[in-house]
Amino acid sequence: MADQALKMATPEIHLAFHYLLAKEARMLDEYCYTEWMELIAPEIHYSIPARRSHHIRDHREKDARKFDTDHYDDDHESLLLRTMRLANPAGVSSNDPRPREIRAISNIEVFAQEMPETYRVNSVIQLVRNRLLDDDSGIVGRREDIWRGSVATGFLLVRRTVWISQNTILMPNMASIL
Amino acid sequence: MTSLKPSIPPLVKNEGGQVSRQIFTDPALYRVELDQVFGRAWLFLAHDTQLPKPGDFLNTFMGEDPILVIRQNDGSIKAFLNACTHRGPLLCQAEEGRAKTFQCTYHGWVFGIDGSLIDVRPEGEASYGARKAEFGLKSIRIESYKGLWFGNFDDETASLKDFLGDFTWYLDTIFDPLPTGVEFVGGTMRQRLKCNWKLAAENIVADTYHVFAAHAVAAGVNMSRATMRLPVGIEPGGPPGISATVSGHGWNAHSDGYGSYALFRDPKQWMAYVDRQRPRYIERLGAERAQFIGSSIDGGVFPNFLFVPGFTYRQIHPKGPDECEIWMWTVVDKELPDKLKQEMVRFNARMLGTSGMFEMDDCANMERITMTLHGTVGRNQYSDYTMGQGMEARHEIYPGLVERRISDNGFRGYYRRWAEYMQANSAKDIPPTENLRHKERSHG
Repeated sequence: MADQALKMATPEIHLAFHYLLAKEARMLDEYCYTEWMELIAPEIHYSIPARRSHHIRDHREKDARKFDTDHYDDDHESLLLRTMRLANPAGVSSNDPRPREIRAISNIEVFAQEMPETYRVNSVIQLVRNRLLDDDSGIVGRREDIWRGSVATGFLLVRRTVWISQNTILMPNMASIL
Repeated sequence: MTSLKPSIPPLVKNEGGQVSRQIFTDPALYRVELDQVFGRAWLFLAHDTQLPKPGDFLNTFMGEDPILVIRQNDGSIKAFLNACTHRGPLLCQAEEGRAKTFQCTYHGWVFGIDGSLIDVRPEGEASYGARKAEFGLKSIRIESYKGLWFGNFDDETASLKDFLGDFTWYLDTIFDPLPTGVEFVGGTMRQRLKCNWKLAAENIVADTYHVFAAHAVAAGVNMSRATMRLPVGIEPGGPPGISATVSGHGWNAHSDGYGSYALFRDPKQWMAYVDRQRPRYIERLGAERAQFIGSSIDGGVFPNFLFVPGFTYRQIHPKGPDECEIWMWTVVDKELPDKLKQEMVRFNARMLGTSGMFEMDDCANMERITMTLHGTVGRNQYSDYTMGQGMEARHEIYPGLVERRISDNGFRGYYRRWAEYMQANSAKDIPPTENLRHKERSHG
């Protein structure tokens, strides 16, 4: 646990993030991508790394590659492209009829960072996606966020890393944002 | 199993122009496929750059058999069934890594990276100590072509070079464009899909027709934000391109030299790179093939090793009649600057990766085919692959049977080849891959 040195945020800030993460989840569930993009800082790095299955004794993991493929390794522009694509139901689209998505957020921890008005927010997200009549799939991830802002001005998401549990993605394409 | 063979011709009719949808769902046919297609064809295992050092290993599949591929101390590659020879547990559980030995987690047998049994623990010494040589890992026949390692379960099949035949003329374009070669970067990405493996394979071996229908929204969004407008090459009214089929291997391409970069954020930096390398591509490959590089291409090696250069390289592993797994890689020129390698990895993930904007359309369509196959009527329908049938011909430059790119030429070749494998009584009955070019090497 690398968090032990981190400073817990005040109850007021903690409560604010409880509301914010729940609201963000509902925005995504309801396909409100324009509103969601308003929560995204211009310098966002949104990442869902590949989870490798390596032997514990094998230290190759650290030096094997210059860069590993991430399921998502996105900046503001590419998130905008993805949300434009998801929001557009025109033409032939795997999202028509709309999938029904539900995001449950739990295990919320909020820490104040040294830089003022900057918070490290940990949470667990569980996404269930049901398409057509009976096509059910889902994914769970541990999120590590950096948010910037204040209760008065609102918060922007600066960095999100989602550590999912799956190596092989078992849902037919991970097109849903976590 | 033998009784099934006479039933293959009605399943693939009209020279591959019609294919019964039974072949995408029937469990009995699937079992025959594992034996006769995956049991006899050369199957991609790994690229040299995935296993740079001695002891480097990766796990993959040939059909549904788990295969352990290991770089040896002398630099060679060996492949084994990834199962302990004692009672059969999966020997190595990691997807990749580096090791000096592999120890079975059940009774502790220890194998070397050359597959030999080197220790059976003291309790087993009396019974097995003198018989270790009998219990080496089940070795797989492997051969390589331009850094690509393939395995074959059947000792009677022709060599890998013969299996690829004239298709090497096309393969060299993407796997041997420069003296320094290509590199698999970013690791393997995997995704499960609820459809027959052939539906995921045919989409890339042969199907250019679907691109602007299935991916209209994804293509439109990406092109609307690119820094310049560049045609992919396959737009209606554009040049026809080619679809070539060489005994089931497929190559579908245009020759504008840039089309694969049309969906990139900043196509100019990619165009600048290929412009800089183009004279060297020409020197190595000749003008026709050098012009493929950068152009929109899709295709694959029969039965399941596929590529859309600039978007994805992949293999489809069967997981039962109605399920498969897509394994994805990014492949680039070794000489490509690091910044562009990283950009290619990101772009591949975003387009045809596990979270890909194009991939989500393909996944949905493949699974939606499967949804119509489980009834008594749906599975007996025929899928149609007659687009352009009768127009295919020999070409003075391009090997194989050649047609316009937007045609079903590649599908027909693929399913004719599939039927040949399914009907063959032994590996020797499989007609050889078309191989005319060794007689008249005029290019490259």
